[in-house]
Amino acid sequence: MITFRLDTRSGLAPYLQLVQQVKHALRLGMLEVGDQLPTIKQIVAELAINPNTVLKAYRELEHEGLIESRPGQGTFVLKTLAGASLQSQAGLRRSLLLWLQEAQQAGLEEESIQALFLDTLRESLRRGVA
Amino acid sequence: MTGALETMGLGKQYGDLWALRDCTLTVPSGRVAALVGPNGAGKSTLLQLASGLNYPSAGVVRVFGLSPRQDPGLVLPRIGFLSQDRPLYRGFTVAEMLTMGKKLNPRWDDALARRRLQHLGIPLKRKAGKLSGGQQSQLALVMALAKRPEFLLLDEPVATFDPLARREFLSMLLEATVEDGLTVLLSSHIINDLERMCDYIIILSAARLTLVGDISEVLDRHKLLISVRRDTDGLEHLHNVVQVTHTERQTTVLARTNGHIWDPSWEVHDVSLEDIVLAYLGQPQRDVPTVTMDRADEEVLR
Amino acid sequence: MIWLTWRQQRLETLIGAALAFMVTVLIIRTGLDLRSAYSTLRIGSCLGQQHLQDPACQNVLSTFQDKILGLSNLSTSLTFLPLLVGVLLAAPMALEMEQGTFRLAWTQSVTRSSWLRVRLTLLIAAAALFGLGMGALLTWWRWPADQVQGRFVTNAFDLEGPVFASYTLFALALGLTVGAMIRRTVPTIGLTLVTFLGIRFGIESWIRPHYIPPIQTAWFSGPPPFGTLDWVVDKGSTWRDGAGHKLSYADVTALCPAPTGGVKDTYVACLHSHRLSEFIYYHPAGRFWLFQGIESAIFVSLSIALLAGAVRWMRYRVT
Repeated sequence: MITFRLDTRSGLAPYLQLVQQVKHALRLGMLEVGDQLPTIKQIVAELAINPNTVLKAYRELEHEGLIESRPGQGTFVLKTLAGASLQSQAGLRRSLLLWLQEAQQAGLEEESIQALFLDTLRESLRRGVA
Repeated sequence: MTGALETMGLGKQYGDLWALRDCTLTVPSGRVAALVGPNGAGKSTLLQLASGLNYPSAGVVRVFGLSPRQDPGLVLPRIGFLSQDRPLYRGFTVAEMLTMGKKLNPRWDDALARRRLQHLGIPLKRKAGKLSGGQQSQLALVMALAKRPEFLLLDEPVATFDPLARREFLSMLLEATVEDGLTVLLSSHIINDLERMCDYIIILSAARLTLVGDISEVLDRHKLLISVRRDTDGLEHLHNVVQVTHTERQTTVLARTNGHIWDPSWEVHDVSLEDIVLAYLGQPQRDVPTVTMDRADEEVLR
Repeated sequence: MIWLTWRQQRLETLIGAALAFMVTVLIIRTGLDLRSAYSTLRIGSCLGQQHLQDPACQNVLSTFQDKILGLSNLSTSLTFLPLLVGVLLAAPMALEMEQGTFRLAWTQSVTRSSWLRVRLTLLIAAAALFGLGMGALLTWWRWPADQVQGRFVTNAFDLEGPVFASYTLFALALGLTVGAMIRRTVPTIGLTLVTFLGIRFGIESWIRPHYIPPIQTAWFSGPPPFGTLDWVVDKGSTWRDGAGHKLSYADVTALCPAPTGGVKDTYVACLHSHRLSEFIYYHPAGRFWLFQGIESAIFVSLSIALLAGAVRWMRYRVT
């Protein structure tokens, strides 16, 4: 079972932090298909976090087909992200390198590239899940 | 969906002074609602009106659809109230305080109270008046929780706690909301942690309500807009402008948006809850329209 | 609720009970003593106007009067007992208001009205129990002295019968009302003491003599027309001549100079010749219970009015 943590200074909405932590664990293989996730009550007691936040995070993950809640039993992992991400990583890295070259040619410095990347990432995440 | 608390045009007047006026809001069941505002904004007054300690000068207050003043026998067993001054019978031992709770409340959970006190390291034989300030607050809170209320009204519950006690208390409180579907309304000075524990916010400023709503909805709709210096007429046509700051070159607007900002000359940023609250508190004393932002499709927990 | 009331009033109730116990012991001891003196001195056979001139009786009576006088300090202290007990019973409520613990009590499952009902009923019952019991005991205690002094003297009327209980109730009601309004324990006690004493003294001095009109009678000379146990409220300030005209004391002394020596015969003869009489106003001893009833009714009514005010105040003004 995984343990959640909350970074109040990250600027990221608490429920998104939970979603990301589950996905991270799925990617790294810390969570496997059939594993049980902590109950809402456990997370609430652990983090002193609003239960609706946890509910929202789990609903989000369920919507993406990653987890499944079985009434009376708990919440379980349906699918893992580990395989998919490993396979596609090489291709993704190649296209990212191409993009970085382009950015450097356009005269962007390291800080600007980082800012642009993070900004775009946040924006797309926000649109994607909000 | 019935609200744990509903008010309509609620007001309380002391002499010529309104401690609270024209307050219309709903706190839906199952929520953890934060009541924020500066001292004297009317937070305690609202909590007292809801608990039936005080009676309204104007308007209506309903708890689970009942009047706390006219049906106290039906409302009181269902609410827990923590007054700002944490009153305890100073000459009573902690055990005697629990006896009082047991004698006065049909739903009293003595096991819960004893478990909590043991966990907190508060000795049952000690006189309540001899406990430290933090322990007195803890005891008062345990008393409110052991009543097994459906609706908990807390006036500045964590003000006197150290960070550890604060975290412990909030865990206990939030756990109870999952277990019993408890509704909580708590007033607080501390804004930075609200987003974590609350899902509903009520902002009072100078005896008036300035914002009520679901926190995620509030966050979604409030944006910080930055542009080269310009007027905000076009913006105000479509969105609600909460706060405008002009510098020589730049115009910064905190807006409550009513849809997407299409004008590309505005740079759009997300805002933290703290900034939103501060903007509403810092508003000039003109008539502020009360905004009820209650997400209709939001399912209540359970 | 009963448990809570008892727990909150425990200390004060125990102090009051200890006080009542000590007073009871003292009263029984001195009371038995007084009764034995009454029978060994054969006071019973010296009572009444006709024995006043009897030297043997004068002797016996003065011995007995000395004995009563020896108890006058105790009697005077006892007149403060209702105040003391009333304030003791009312003090925890003032403390409850001062410390804000009513906010805790009124947000438990018990409604404010039933909280007030139980609390006040128990307090009133305690005050009444103490007042009536102690009043009965003191009536027993005063009996030998009453035979000689009458029951209208200050230390008799105030200690006997139902007025004792009505004072206790009044002190309680006053303490509760003041406590609810000013919400500070020490000032409440102070203000209650001052107000209680003021009202008690005012009623005793200026109102009690006029509950019903006193009997008016002319006393020319010879044995007084009233009994030793009657309450003379006005003696010697009203003079009238034969035609019934009112005369001032100066007019009287102008006609008949006041006697300087022990011999009053010439003075009496002078008054006689001018047909001057002194008018006396008194209440006969038999009015004792009527007066007790009237005074108790006054204090009980005041208490009810105060308690109604306190209840209203606590229901609507205290938050």
